[in-house]
Amino acid sequence: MTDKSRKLVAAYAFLLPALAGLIVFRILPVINALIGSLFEIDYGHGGAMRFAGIMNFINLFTDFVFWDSVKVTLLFNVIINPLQIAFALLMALLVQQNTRLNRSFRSFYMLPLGVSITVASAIWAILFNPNAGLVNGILQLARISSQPFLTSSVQAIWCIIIVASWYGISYWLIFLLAGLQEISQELYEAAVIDGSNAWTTFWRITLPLLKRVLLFVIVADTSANFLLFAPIYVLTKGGPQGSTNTLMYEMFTSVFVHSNLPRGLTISTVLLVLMLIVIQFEFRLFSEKERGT
Amino acid sequence: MKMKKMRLSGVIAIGIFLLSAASVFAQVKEITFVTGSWWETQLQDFKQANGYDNLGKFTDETGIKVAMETLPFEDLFHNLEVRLSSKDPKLDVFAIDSPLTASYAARGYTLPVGSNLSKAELDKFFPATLQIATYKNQLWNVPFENSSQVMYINKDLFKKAGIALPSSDVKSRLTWEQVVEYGKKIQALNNPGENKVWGLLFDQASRPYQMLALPQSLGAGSGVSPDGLTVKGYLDNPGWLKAMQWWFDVHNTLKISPKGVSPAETAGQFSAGNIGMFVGGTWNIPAFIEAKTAGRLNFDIVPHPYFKGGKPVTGTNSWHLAVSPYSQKQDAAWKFIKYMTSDKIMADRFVSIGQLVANKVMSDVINKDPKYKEFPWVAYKTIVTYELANTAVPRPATPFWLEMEDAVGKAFEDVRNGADPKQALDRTVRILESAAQKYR
Repeated sequence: MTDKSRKLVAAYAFLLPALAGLIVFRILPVINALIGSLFEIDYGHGGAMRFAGIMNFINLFTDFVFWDSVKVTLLFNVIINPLQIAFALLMALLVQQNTRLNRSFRSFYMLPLGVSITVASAIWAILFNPNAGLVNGILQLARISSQPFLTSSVQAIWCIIIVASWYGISYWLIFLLAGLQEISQELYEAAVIDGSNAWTTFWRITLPLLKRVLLFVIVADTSANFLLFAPIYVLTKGGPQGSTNTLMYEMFTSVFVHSNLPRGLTISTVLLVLMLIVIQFEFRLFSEKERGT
Repeated sequence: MKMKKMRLSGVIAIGIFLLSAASVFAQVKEITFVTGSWWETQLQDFKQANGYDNLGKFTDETGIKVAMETLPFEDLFHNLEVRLSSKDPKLDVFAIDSPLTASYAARGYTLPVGSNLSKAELDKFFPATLQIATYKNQLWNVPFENSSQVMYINKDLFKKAGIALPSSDVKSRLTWEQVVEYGKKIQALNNPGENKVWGLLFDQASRPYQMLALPQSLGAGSGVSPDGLTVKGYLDNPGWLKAMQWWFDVHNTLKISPKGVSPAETAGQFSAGNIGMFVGGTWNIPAFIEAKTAGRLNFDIVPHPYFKGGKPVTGTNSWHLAVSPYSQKQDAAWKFIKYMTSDKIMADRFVSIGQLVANKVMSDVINKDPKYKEFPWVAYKTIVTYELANTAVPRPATPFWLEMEDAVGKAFEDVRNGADPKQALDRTVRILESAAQKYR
C-alpha cells in the first residue's frame, strides 16, 4: 500500500464511527420515512400495511389541517430565526471583550442551558399560568391586566417563541462568541486608526469575518426551529385552535395519538423537503452577499 | 493433557445444552402487563385493606410472575400504540380504555376473546360493559373496571354563600341551570379582582369522557352516526351547539369555572377547598376523605346534574384488559385476565380501591357490606347503582375514536379558552370527516 492510500485508509477509519452514527441515526430513518410514506394501513384487514403509492401525499395535500400546519410552521420560523440570531449576535458582541464584568455576564447568559428544554418548558408552563403564574403576577404589579398567554390563540405562539428563544439564544451565543474571538484584534486596531466607527467596523470587518460561523448558526438554528417539539408538547399541545400546530407536532399527533404511522412518515418527508428548500435559500443569500463584498 | 481438556469441555458443553433445553421445556415463568401509573397506589391500597398482594396471589396460585410496567395517562396510550403497531412480542396483557375497542380492533391491536372465556364466565359481567367491548359481533377485550360520575359539594362554600345544600336523591337532582345560579353566588364570595374560589369545576375538563354528558343530556346524541362512520349532522346539530355554548359561557361570560386547569390538577383544587361544585368520578373519594380528615375539606356527594327539559346522563365505562395478538404467552395471559376478573379479586379490588368493577359481584358487596351504609360510601348505594342502571351512556363505538377523542377534546378546550362554539364544531366536523374517509 502506498503512503498516500494508507493515509486515506486511516482517515476513513477515524471517520467511520461518526459516519456509522450518521448513517444509522440520520440517513436510514430518512430512507425508512420515504419508503414508509408509500404505504397505508388497511383498517378492513386488522391493520396490515398495503402499498398506496402517492395516495398519502394526495390525501395530505387535500387536508386543510396540513395546510394550516404549514402556515403556522412558516410563520413561526420567519419570526423566530432572525429574532434568535439577531439577539444572539447582539449579546455576543456585548460580551466579547474579556473584561471581568463580561466574564460573569457570560455565565449568566448561559444559565438557561443548565436545564433540559423539557424541564425549562415545564417551568415556563407554571410561569405562564393564567390564574396563578409569576408572569401575570409581575404584570399585575405594573397595573397590567392578567393575560391569557397559553390559553389564547393569538398569544400562545409568542409564548412558544419566548421559551424557545430564551433557550436558543444562549445556545447560539456560544458559537457566535467563538467566531467573534477568532477575529484578530489587530484588524480592529487598524480600523480605529483608519477612522472607522463602530457601525462601519461591524459591517466591514466583523460580519464578513464571521460569515462562516454565522452561516453554520443560521442553518443549524433553522433546522432546530423547524423541528422544535418539546415546548409545544409541554405547553400547548398544538392549540389553542391549532395556532401552535407546527408540522412537527402534527406529525407527532398522527403517529402517537392517532396511531397513523404512514401519515406521520409522509409529513416527515414533506417537512424534510421544506427544510432543504429553506436552507438552500439561506445558502444562496449568503453566497450573493459574498460576491457583493 | 489434551484429552482431559477435551473431555472436560465436552462435559461442560453437554451440561449447558441440557440446562438450556430444560429452560425451553419449562413452564412460562413471567408475563408482562402494561397499565397506568395509578395502579401503583391502588395495589398498595389493595394490600393494606385485604392483607395479600393482588398480583402476588396469582403467582402463588399458578407460578406465573407478573411484570407490571406503569405509565402516566397520556404516555400509556402512546407507548401501547407504538409497541402494538411494531408487533412487540414482549407485551402480553395491557389495560385498554374501553371506548377504543373498535379503534384497536380495526388496527389489529387486540386478540378477540373467542372461546377463551366460557359463556358462564362472561355472564358475570354487567351487560353494558360487554356491550362496549363488542365490535362487529366479536368481543375484543375483557371488562374489568367501570365508572360513574357524581357531583361533589363543598359544604363550607355553600354555607358561606347562603345556598341550601342540594339533596342526594337521584329523583330531585340539580339542573345545570341551577348549578349556574349557585356558581354565581359562590363566585361572588371572592374579593374584587381576585379569583381564589370558583363555583364549578369538572374533574376531566374538556375530555370527551366527561363532556359528552352535556350534549347527550340535551338529546343531541354522542356526535357520531349509529354505524360509527359519520359525524356531519351528528356533531354539529343544535343540541351540540347549545351544549358548547353553555361550556363557553361558564368559562368566558359567566366566569364561574376556571380556564387553564388541567385534568391532573382539578381534584387537587377541590381538595384544597377552592371549588364549590366538582363534577367527577367516584375514584376521587379516597383523596377527598383524606382532605376531610386533614380539615381542609367538608364535602357532600349529590347526583350528576342535567339540562332542564332534557334527561339525566352520566359518563361511564373504564379500563378493560386485553391480550396482545403478538404475545408469545397467550395462555398465561388469558389465565391472568380470568384471575383478575374472578369474583373474589373483583370484590376485594372494589372494596379497597373504590373504582367500580365490571363483575356483578359488586352489587352484592354494595348491598351486604356495612361500609356502604355510611357517608361517603353510601353514595354507591343511593346514587351510583341507580346511575349505572338508568343514566349511564357509553361513549360511541367508532373505529376513529382515537381521532375523535383528540379532535372533540381539543374543541372543548378551545371553546373553554374562548373560541367561538360554532366555528370550533364546524372545524372539528371537517377534521373528523376527513379522518373518517379511510374507515369507510
